[in-house]
Amino acid sequence: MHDWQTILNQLTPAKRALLAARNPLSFAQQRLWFLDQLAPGQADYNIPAALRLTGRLNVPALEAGINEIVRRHDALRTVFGAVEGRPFQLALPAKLVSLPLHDLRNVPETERETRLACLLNEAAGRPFDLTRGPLFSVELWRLAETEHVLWLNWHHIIADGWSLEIFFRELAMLYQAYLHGAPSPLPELPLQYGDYARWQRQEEQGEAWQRQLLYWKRQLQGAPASLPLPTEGTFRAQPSSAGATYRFTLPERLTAALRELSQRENVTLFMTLLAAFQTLLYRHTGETDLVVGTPQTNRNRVELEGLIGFFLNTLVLRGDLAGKPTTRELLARTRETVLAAHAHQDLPFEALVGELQPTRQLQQQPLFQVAFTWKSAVLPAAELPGLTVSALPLGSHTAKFDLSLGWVETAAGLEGVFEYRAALFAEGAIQRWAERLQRLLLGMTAQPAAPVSRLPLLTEAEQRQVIQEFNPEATPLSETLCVPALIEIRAARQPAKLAVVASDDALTYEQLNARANQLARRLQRLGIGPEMRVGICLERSAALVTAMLATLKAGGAYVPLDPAYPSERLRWLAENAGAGVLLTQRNLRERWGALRAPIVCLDEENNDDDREADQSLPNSVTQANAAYLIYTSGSTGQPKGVVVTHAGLLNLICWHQRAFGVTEADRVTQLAGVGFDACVWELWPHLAAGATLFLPDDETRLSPLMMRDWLVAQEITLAFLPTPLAEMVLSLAWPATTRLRCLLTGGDRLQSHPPPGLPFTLVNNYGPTECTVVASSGALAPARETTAPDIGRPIANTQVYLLDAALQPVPRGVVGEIFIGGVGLARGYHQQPALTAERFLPDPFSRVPGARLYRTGDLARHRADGALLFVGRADRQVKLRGIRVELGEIEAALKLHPAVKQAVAELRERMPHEPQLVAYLMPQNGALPSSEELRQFLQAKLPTALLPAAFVTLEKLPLTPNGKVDREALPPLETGFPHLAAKQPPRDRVEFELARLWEELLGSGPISAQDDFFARGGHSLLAVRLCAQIEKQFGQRLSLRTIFQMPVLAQLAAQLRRQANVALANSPLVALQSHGQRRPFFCVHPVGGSVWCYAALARRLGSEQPFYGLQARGLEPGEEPVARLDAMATAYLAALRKLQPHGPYLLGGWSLGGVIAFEMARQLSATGERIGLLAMFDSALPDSETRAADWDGDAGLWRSFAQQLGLSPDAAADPATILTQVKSAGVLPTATEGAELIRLFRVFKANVEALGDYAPRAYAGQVELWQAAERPPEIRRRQADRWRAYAAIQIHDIPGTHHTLLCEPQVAVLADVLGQRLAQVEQAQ
Amino acid sequence: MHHEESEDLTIYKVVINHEEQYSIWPADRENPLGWTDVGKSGTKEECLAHIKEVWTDMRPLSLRKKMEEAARQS
Repeated sequence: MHDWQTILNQLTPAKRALLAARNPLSFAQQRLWFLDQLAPGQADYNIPAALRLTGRLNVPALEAGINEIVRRHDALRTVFGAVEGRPFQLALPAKLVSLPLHDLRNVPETERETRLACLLNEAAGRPFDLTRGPLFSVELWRLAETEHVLWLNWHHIIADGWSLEIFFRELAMLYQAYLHGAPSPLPELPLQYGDYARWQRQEEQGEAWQRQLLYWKRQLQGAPASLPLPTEGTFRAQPSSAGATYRFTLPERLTAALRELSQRENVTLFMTLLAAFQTLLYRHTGETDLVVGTPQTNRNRVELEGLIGFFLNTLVLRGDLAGKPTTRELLARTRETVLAAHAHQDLPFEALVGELQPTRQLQQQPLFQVAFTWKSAVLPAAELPGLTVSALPLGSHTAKFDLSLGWVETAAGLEGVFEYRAALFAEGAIQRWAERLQRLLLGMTAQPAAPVSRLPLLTEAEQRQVIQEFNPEATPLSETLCVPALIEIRAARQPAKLAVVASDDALTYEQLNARANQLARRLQRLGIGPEMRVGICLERSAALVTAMLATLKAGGAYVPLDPAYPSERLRWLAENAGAGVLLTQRNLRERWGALRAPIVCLDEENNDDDREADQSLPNSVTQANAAYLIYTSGSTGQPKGVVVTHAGLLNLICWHQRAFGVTEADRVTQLAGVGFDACVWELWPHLAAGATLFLPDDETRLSPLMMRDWLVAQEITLAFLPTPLAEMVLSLAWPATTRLRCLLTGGDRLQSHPPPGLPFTLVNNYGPTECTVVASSGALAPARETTAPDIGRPIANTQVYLLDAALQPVPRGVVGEIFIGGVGLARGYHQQPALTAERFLPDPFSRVPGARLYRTGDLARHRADGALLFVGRADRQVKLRGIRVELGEIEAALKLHPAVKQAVAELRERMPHEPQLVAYLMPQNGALPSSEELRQFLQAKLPTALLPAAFVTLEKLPLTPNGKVDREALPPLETGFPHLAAKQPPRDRVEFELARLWEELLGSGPISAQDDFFARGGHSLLAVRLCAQIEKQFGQRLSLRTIFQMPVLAQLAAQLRRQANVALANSPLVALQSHGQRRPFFCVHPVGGSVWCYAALARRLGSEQPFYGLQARGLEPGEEPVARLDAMATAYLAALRKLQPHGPYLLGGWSLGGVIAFEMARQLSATGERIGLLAMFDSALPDSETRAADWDGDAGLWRSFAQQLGLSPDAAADPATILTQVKSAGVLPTATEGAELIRLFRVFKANVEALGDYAPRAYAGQVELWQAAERPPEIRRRQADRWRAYAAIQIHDIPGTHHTLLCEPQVAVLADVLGQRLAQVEQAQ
Repeated sequence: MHHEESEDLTIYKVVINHEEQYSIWPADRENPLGWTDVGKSGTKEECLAHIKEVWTDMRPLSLRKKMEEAARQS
């Protein structure tokens, strides 16, 4: 960019004339030029080609031919430049092109071809320099006397692939002519590419253009901004063009069937293959609205047909797979789409992008990321006399799109080529795509009347893997054993062994069994038997365990009722469960009031139990009977009771004991809330194994530190902690002597792997209550930052399937809904047949007749090794501006920040229908980094669209009684965090000047510090111009990429400051608005020292009124504040007179600024200069009263400083707190350091003191005092009186308070009246 | 993911297994092993409403039989 300006200045007149021939870029060129700006020096857009020439070659004739082609076609001599970010192209005069000849004959014959391929490959990767040119290169390789390879390469910006055909055709004709000494037989070209580019720019204004634009806007309205291809990485990779290809050929029979189908359905083969490709994408993403791009040669005018140049256009084809279309229906839809697209193919894709302003993601190409191409042949075979010519296939190592499928129709049949970004797809993944595509094509031809959503997709091997191999083989299980018998065996075998240890109570196995037997008898007397429910509302204690066991012994099913729940909810649960008896304790008794069921307090003095026999009861249940009923919150309103059977419970027990090697020597915990089914897991497998259960008190349960100490002190060997607590405990230090062997966790999404060096294993678990606590489980390896922790594999006798909406298994790596089958399945929802039938469906994969599958509503995908990766709730996937957002993905990325302990992402609407992503964060310890820092951190890990708009810090995330994050209880945005809603005006010089550049480029304002360049209407070319402007203004070169990575003004300003330590002028003058011919208006800083407070006023006064601020010394690093007001005035006058040597002067100032302006006016008039206007905006001279309210030392000054920065009046008075507060409130850029704050404070202090010491003297001129109307009249009167002592004053009223009169919207009135006054003064001169 | 945004327009049928547990299944698809039609089809809501009517005892058939037998014996 810069080069060109230098060159322009140094040119001779002749060359200047040449430069007058500069042409604009066509739209297509513009995009490639922009991409080159974004990432210069890439070879992504090279178009190499090679021809093998066998026979006797006349090199001079060939060389002459090439030279003639270069002479004929401007495109091959074109280079690109830019002035102020506006690109142009220029065809340089023809120069002799020499044809380098590389002789490979001395390479051993056997190695020659390999060597050649290697050299060509290297040559194809050489980038072109768009500014210097040439953008075309040609070379000749001699393999033998009669064997040559002609290799050429050009940058796509000058010519497309179609142009190769023209090139070789012309070369053939010229070669033939020159061989015989004849002149060129080719007629001169009527047009050149530059003419086309100019013509295209004129078309832009035309009616046809507008009509096409309208069509495309309608056609693409609401199209998704991106297609979430199933990729292997957890986070989307950084953009990388490294690509790979996979080729495959369709069997002849299939090709024939496809032709037949196309003919029958009256579509082209292109349409059929496109429909199949879109179906393939749909089946891999679940998206029914799919956009793919397809290149289209756009030489639709005779004059363009023979021209080498870049005429390729991209058509956007939007596929509609909604409503489960059949192959026939889809083909009909595709036909309409393709025909309509062709009818509107003249509109350049780039113009469309510019018009639609799609949501921008740097990583991705706009509008589509997947391409579909169709070619009839690889290269035209040119005829050269005496030579046999054949094309040399060249491999591609870059991918321009995430994924593209190209079809080549050859004599041999249809060849498909997948080209893909290597970073996005694992090895072998694309081969499977190709196999699945062929399965789909087979299905389409075989069953054209079947919905494409139901066509077979997976190969048999894939299907077998995800259905069978990823699930465990059956483990034999007793068909009669139930929990009571298991514990009775323990009581007989180890009567004195401790079973339960609570803080104030302990039971041996014998005691536990005996007490449970007694209570069971009592329950039976109260009518409890199989299928009867017993409500249990007890605090965590040995009695709680006894009560549950007693219920099972009596044959009933227990209903845990957590005393932490509100009474109303507890009563509702007990009634809904139809509890036959309620077991509780005295201190909870009153919460129940009247209940249909009898209420038994287990700690009643005259306990009937003692009179019951304590030997074991005869077994009264079978495994099909209900063991417990646990309520889970439904997504819609009322909780639902899940009925779990003894069979499921036994399976859990047996699996757990085996998986974790539980023995009677184990010391285990019970701490999950009773309403959480993890409690089931903590109790029965351990009691059945004869281990000892330890119950911590509630204080311990809630404190990670105390929990760790307790686990260590109690010598616990195996423990379960709910996910949030486990995560906190994991981050603590653990003594090596810890007896803990294994820490189980589950209940919520685990966000990271365990840290290295833990003395125990962390096991992550997943399972809905409907599948008896655990469905999948797996130990986690220590920290691997980049991958999310998995949820293990299905447990014994459990099948997990990941299915699509049509209940078909999804391909490995593709997200599907989790369905669970097996022994652990609950019977259903208590008294909810319809809900049960909806969620428990027939299992289409089971060999057990009548088996059911539970539909979880959770999403996961398979890792290559079969482990399950939890993705989130199906209902937590949200769409934001057309992009599918997985909230869990954002949370996982946030958790990777070392300062973040917990993170929750939610979609919140600050304004109706304007949902925004909000991240709720709990800091690790102390403070969180600023929003801008967090955003930058996330930028490396997430696509732009997934970046939260706001970050909210919470001391603690609200948890449900079960220890899961309570999303409902997160604070709404509006109430707690008003400052987030407010947009801050630019806050320092860099931000201000940047904002001014934006305003000029975008043609709109005002711009706030939080504004996003692209959201405010910026597009890629404006970004290029912004770069150029920044360079001019700040003398700093920012890469174009920076603007995309930091599109928010404050970010960009911070980057500029970082990069440059932006050198700032010594002058106190700040140009707030430098355009216009009128006399400039100067405004002096208020007490804070900066002049940004005048930004709105300057803007309001318009671009005809130059407006300068005078900022205080001391704001910039290295400056010392000035302590005396008259000295300030003198210094400012010196600066001001450099800009305007003589009066009349227009001066003004707000608050203290008015007082300084007054002193400046006085000094000026003392030297005989005239003052046109002296405007003081609500300025007051200190009087005895204000002085009396003197600052109580620096503390008072700090407090007042904080207030002046906009913090609340009760703001803290210490610098550290103020610094945190101003940052979080956004009133200063977040990069502000302590040193900067102190610098600002010293300016403030100097100004306060200067005002206090100021002794005004009389001024002969007129003073205009603009008073804030909202000040009390008494104060206003006193203010005016003080001034009258020194000058004649004229008073204006302006709306607002002292602090708001310069702010929008009030400032409009001030600007209006002031504007008139300035105009009057201007006329009077 | 895999949830088309439009409402579920699938026609379902009510099916039952050997334990007389009810469920629904897309009407145009073959029943999974061990499931038979009860002769009712319609939208999801219609099918579920039907199930709500007829599935009054949610215990599996074999359990019901066992419990009846146990009751007779005692």
